[in-house]
Amino acid sequence: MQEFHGKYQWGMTVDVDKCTGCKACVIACRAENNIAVVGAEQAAMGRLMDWLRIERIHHGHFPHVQVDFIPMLCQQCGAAPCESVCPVFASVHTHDGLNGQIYNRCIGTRVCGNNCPYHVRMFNFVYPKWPTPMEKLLNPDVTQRQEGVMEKCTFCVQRIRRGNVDAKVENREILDGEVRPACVQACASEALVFGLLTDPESSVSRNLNQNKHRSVLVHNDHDTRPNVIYLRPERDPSALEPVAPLGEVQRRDGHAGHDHGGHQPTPENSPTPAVEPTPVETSTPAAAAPASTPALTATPGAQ
Amino acid sequence: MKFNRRDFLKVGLLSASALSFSACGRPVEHGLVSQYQMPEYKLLGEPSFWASTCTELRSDCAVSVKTVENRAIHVIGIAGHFFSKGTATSAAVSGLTTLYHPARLKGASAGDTTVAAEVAKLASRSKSPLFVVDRLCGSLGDAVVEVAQKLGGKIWVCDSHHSMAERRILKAVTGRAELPLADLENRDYLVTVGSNLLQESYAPTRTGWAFGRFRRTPGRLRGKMVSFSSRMNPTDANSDVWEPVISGSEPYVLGALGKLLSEKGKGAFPSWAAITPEEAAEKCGIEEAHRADFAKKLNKLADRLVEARSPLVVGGFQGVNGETTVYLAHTITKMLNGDVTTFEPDLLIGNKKSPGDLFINDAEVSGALQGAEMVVVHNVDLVYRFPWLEESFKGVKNKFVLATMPNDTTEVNNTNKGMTIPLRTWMEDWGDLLVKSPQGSWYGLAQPAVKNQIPDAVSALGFMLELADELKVSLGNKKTNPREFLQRELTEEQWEDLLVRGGHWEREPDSIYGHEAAFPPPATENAGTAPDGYNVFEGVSPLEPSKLGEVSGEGLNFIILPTHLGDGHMADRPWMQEMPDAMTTVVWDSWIEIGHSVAAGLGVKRHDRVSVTVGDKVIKGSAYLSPFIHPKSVGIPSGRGQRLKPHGAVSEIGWVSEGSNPKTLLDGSTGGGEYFSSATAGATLKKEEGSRLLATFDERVYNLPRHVLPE
Repeated sequence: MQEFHGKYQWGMTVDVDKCTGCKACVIACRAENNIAVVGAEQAAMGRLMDWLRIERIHHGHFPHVQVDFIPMLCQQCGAAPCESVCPVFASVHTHDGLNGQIYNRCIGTRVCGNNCPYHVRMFNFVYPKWPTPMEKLLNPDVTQRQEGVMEKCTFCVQRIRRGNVDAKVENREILDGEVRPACVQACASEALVFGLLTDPESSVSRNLNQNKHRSVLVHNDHDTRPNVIYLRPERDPSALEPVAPLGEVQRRDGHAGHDHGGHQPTPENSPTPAVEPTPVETSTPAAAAPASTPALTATPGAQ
Repeated sequence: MKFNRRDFLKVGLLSASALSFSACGRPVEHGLVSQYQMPEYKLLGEPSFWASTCTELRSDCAVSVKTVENRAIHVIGIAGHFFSKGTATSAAVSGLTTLYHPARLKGASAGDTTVAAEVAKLASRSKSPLFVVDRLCGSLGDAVVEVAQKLGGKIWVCDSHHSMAERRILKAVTGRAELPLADLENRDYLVTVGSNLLQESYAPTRTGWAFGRFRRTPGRLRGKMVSFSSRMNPTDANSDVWEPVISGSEPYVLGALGKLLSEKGKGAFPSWAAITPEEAAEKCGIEEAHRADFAKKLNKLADRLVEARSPLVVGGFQGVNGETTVYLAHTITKMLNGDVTTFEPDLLIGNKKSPGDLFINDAEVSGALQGAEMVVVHNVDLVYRFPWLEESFKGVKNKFVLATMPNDTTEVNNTNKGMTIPLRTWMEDWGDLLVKSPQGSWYGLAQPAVKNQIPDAVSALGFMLELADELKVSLGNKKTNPREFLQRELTEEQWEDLLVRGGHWEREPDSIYGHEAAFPPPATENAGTAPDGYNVFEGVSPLEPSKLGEVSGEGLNFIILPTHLGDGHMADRPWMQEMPDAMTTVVWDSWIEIGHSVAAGLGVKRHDRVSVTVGDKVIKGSAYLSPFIHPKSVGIPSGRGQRLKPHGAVSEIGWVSEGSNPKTLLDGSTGGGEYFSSATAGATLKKEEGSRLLATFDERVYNLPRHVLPE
């Protein structure tokens, strides 16, 4: 059972059913976080720097094809595989449940990237260039990374810290919706909802509770305890499967395996038998939850 | 009272402490600030948010431009706006890269004359000019209409939406020459036929918001969506069922659907379009063995549309019969609901009823160019988008091109003694618009968020005002300054309010962050699943997949694929170039998309070089084998392949748009309609020697050394 040790635990829900794949979030993330353009040559080598990408997952063959657009970003894991392997403690856990990345500690071993099951850590293979006058686009609230440094989504921590300061100055708690990452702010269909998982009245908690039967955690079989919760599309309950080619999708109740409901599995994406989906409890803070309520990532055997 | 040195120090220290405490504790101001806020009241490094209206796309979103020390770093939607819902499109945000692009046009590039002098010359050569514009909105559109009327000229609105054609269609169907509004939040069933509604609607931010409601509104059933097209686009990808049909057969689907609905008592359907479902199956390229199944599906779909409470049918201009598709889709929507929801984002302020004979359509433009003595091109890459018009364009004696970035048209113009005038972006310029929608009307004000980055760049509205002044055309007053022109009928208080808010609209209560409206406590638990019988194709056996190798490379239909680069004007934006395509995940390049069956027949693998031939025109490129395209179609994406090389290149990063311009395979045919077709038949696909890697990311190869571009 995961417990939140801090006052705040930031989280996000991603409703795959609502995501239209418009990528407004991707561009908003680029603008907010000073993400470098690597150019055609580096892109051809697989070195795009997107902190947030839209996974295009398709099932089946023509003409029986179904596609899902799945925003994939750092899951801000409660038990992040990237943190435990960093030899210089550049990947650290913050008091409000974020996976922090301290750039000036990073020595570029790339072990964290290799250990991340979500492939959301981006390595600066080349020095990011900002030809004049493109440096004018840089956001002064976000540092520029250098060659040889790993970087990733921060949940727009600069906005979170700004919210912390504002709340402290005004002697109040952070309001729901006061802090929103750039991707959430840009999402037209409201597929992305951000907020405090520790607040049962927050938008993200209410959204999660309203859709708990659709909620899944990606790669929770690695006991990563993500704080990004995906809401499955109803037409294809197993649509999140291919997003995890290195493992299997884990439902929030901790049972391994693929949910199945109407989708015809293809040989590539369904090596395991299906199990029936069951509603699971979500987003209730551990401290306020009844004893019988499973916590956010109640994986059997987890600490 | 004795006041010694120690007391003096105490008081001094206390005063300093109080001063520093009050400075540190000063609440930071947030939100929109007035244009009138003086610089000395701004803290160094503290951002300002300038309210404006984005005119990149037709959604006309209310946005605030975040600036730090007079440089724009982010474009954010204004949360309180009732129509754009506080979001901004990728086109709006990526406009920042155009704003600071080092390759922006600088200086009028025809001799040593000034823009003002050229405007005077333009006025003197006032015989039958042709204005080529991407849209007409607000005071700028008003000025264009007035000047064109004065000069006895014509206007060609050539946006990628074919909005003028759609206006004519809706005028025929509803009696209102307006544009369709996809009010999906009120719908429970959506059918798209050859349409990329979610990416290319007239109001994409609002359509995206409405789609979220359509899919998931607590207490309501999840909206169902069915799509027909020859190639799955991002909108089709969101549908519950996608049914591939051969390119150009889209109206037959609607013809059969309309006939069935008419038979089920939903009103009259045009007899010329009505065909049986079996005939439609044949026209759609369905194999004979499966036509009965296809007909059953159409019957099922008709039943569901009859049962639905508020269905919407949307047609698109893709394909050779797009005009018919759009007409029939609106007709069916009207049959089902009694009306089609429309809005008007381009309403002209002064000329609320623009004269219809002022505008020409695609079919007439070639003749108009040949007969024109003067052409003014505003914000349109004419040569790239319509290569077949290049010779006619070159032949016009007096050419004026207003553009922000160099493009194929400016290049051709410069080499043919035309006048190219650099334009300001919407973040540097004044403008306005008045939008009328079923939810209400609003006035949007576009105002500078940063100072003009290119000193010689002109304001589009200012240019037209100068031209009107030269021609002695009255535009309401004698003001020639865009700002004063926009301010002419407003009180100072109203004007200041517009500057702060970026327009005027009715606020939604309690929606400053959007969440209150988005997730109210549910009245009833949303089951999230449809009841029995709600599935369109329940009980119908699916089509068999096409067999590998059964389709040859001859006689294919060539289609142009939609991309996020739009009509090509966003190809110079590195952020947009590096954003993977929604369906293929390709970046920085064009591809030739083919089905697996035709590829197997020709022995083609991904990245192999192939050629597409239509008539005597050939395009070569790398093959992308796709499960999303009809096996009898071949597609090339739009937006890339400008002839201008390097296209806004910057030394260290190769911002060069690779690829091919697919429009060069077309011949400007309108197929008897009034807009240029974006597809053609008779394409031949051949395998060529060699291969060239496409940068794709659907194989999950992000910066991990163990898999670098498999295949």
